[in-house]
Amino acid sequence: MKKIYLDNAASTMVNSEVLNEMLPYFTEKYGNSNSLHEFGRTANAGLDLARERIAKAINCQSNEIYFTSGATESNNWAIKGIAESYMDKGKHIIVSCIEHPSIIEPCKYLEKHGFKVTYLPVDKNGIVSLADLLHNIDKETILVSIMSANNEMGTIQHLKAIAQTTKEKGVLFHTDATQGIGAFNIDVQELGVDMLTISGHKIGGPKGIGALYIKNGIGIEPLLHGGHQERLRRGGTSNVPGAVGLGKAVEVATRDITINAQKLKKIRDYFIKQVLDRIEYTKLNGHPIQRLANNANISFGMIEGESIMLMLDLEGISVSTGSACSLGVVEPSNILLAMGLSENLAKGAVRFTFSKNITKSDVDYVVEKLEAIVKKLRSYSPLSKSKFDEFKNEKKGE
Amino acid sequence: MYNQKIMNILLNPLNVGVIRGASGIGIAEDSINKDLIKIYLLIENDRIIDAKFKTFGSVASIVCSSVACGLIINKKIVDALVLDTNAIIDELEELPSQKINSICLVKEAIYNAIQNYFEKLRKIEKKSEQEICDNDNNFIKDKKQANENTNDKSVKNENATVGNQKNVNQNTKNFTNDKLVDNNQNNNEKKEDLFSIMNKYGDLFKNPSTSLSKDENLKTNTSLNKDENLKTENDDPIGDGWLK
Repeated sequence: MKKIYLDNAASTMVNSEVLNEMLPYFTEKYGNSNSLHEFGRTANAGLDLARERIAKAINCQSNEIYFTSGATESNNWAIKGIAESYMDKGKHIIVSCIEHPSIIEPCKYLEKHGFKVTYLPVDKNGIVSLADLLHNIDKETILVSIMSANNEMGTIQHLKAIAQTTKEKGVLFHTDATQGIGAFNIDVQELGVDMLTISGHKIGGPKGIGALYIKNGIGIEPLLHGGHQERLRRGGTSNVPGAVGLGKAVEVATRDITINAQKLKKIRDYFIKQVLDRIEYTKLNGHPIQRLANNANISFGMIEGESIMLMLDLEGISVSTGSACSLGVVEPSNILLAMGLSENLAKGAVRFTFSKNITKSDVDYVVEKLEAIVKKLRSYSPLSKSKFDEFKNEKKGE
Repeated sequence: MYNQKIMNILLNPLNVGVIRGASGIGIAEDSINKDLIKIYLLIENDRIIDAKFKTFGSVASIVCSSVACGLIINKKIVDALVLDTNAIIDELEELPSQKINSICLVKEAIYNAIQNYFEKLRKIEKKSEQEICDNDNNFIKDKKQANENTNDKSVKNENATVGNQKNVNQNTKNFTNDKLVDNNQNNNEKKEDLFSIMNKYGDLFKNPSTSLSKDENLKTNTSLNKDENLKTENDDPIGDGWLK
C-alpha cells in the first residue's frame, strides 16, 4: 500500500546529509566533550562546529547558542530562567494564547508563584494584535514570548514589529521558532529578538536536541544545575551527535529555504484548492496567505478529526488532528477555539503538513481518499447542515 | 491507541442511521468533549425491536454507539436500561481508558430515548383521561359522529395489525383526530405493564401525575428541550439529502 506522510509539523525524516554528519560521532568520536584528552577534544570540536553553523544561520555569535534537549526545554528555560533572574524588576509576563504547551504550562506554573501572566488573544486568522501587546506592557513586564509561526494552523506572526515594540518598552522578547526555522529567513539581528528556540526534529534533524539563542548580556538562571557544560548555564553531558545533527540540519534548512518554500507552497495551495472545491462544508483555518509553506489546516464540518485521521491512516496516509502533543486529549483544540472557531468546527480540524518529497499524484490520491472518507463519516453524523450556517456567514464576510 | 476490532467497526459500523417514526429518541451531549450521540429506538410491547444511532464525536463514541445498539436490539427495556459498561468493552476487547466516557454517553442516550418513549406514553394517557371527560359530556350530542367514527376505528385497527408501525403514534392519531377512547382497552393493559416497569425504576422516571410542573421548570436545561428539537428534526430527516 502507498504510504504518504503528511505530518511533517510533528516530526520529519532525518536528512541524509545530517545523518552522514552524525554517524562518526556515535562510533569514532564518542568522547565526552568536556574531557581534555583527544577523544574529548574531537567531540568538543564537533560541538563548536555545530554552534557556529547555527550562529551563521540565524546571524548571531556562536557563544550565544546553548544546546538543550529540545524545544520544550528551551521554552521552559526561557520562561522560568528569565522570570527568576528578572523578578526584582517585575513579575509580569506576556504570551499569546496560541503558544505551545511548553510555553503555556511554565507560565501557569509561575502564576502559582506570584507572577502575573497575560495571554494575548488572536484574531480569526491567528495573528496577535500589536495594539493589544502595547496596551498590556506595563512597568512590571519583564518578558514577552510569542511564537514565530503556529504549529497547528501555521500562521506567521509579525515578529519584527513585535520585537521593535518590546525593544522600545525595554522588555525582553523570546520567540519559539520551532516551526519558523527553515520556513522563512530568521536573522536575530535584523528582527531584534532576544531569545529564540530551535528544535532539531522539525527540520530534518534528530530528536532529543534543540537550542536556545540567548543574546549576550542577558542574565538567565539555569534550568538544570550540575555541570560546567554550556558555559555553566545548562548542566548535563552534551549530546554531541545530536548537536552535530542539529547544526547540519539548520545549515541545510536555511540553505534550501527558497527552493523548499516555493515547492511546498505549490503543493499546499494545490491541495487546499482541491479539498475546498471538492468537499462541501470545509474551511481553511489560519491565515490564507501569511502561513507556513507546508501547512494546511482544514476543518471538516459535521464530523470529527480523529475519525478522519484514523480512516486516512488505514489508507496509508498519516495526518494529524490539532497537534501530536495533544493526541489522546479529546477536547477541541484551544488554539482553534481561540481563533473564534465553533467547537464543532474545531473538533473537525485536520492538519496536513507537507514535505518536499510529496508529489502531485500523492496529493490527488489523498484528496480522493479524503473525499470518500468524509462522505462516509458524514453519514454517521447527527448534525444537520442547518447548524453550519456560519459557513455561509463567513464566506459572505470574506 | 485503538485495536483492529475497533477499526473494523469504524469502517463498517452496524445500526447506523435513522428510524423514521421511532418510538423513542434520545440525545446525549458531552459538555467537555462536545461529542453528540443520538439513539433511535423502535419499541413494541416492552421489547426493543430496532435501535439505530447517529454520532458526532470520536472514534470511540461511534464504535460504542454501534456496539450498544447491537446489544440492546431484541432486549427488554429493563435490560437496555441496565446495559453493562463491561459488556460493551468485552465486545470491543479493549478501550483506551480516556475514552470510557463514550460508553457513559451512549448509555445516557439510550436512557434518554427510553425516557422519551415513556413521556410519549404519558401524554397519551393524559389525553385519554381528558377525552373520556369530554366524551362523557358530549356523548349525547356527538352520538351520530361517534357511530361514524367506530367505522373508521375498525379500519384503523386493521392498519395497526398489518403495518404494525407503532401503537403509540397511531393511538395519538386516533385520539386527536377521531376522539375515540374505548378502543384502547388492550393498549391500556400494555401500558400498565410498562408503567409497572416505570414504578420498578421509580427513581429513573418521574411519576406522571406529579411531575408536570417539574418538567416545565426543567425545560430550559434538560432533555425535554432537546426532545422538542428532535421532533422538528425528525420531521425533516437528518443527514439525508445534503451530501449531494
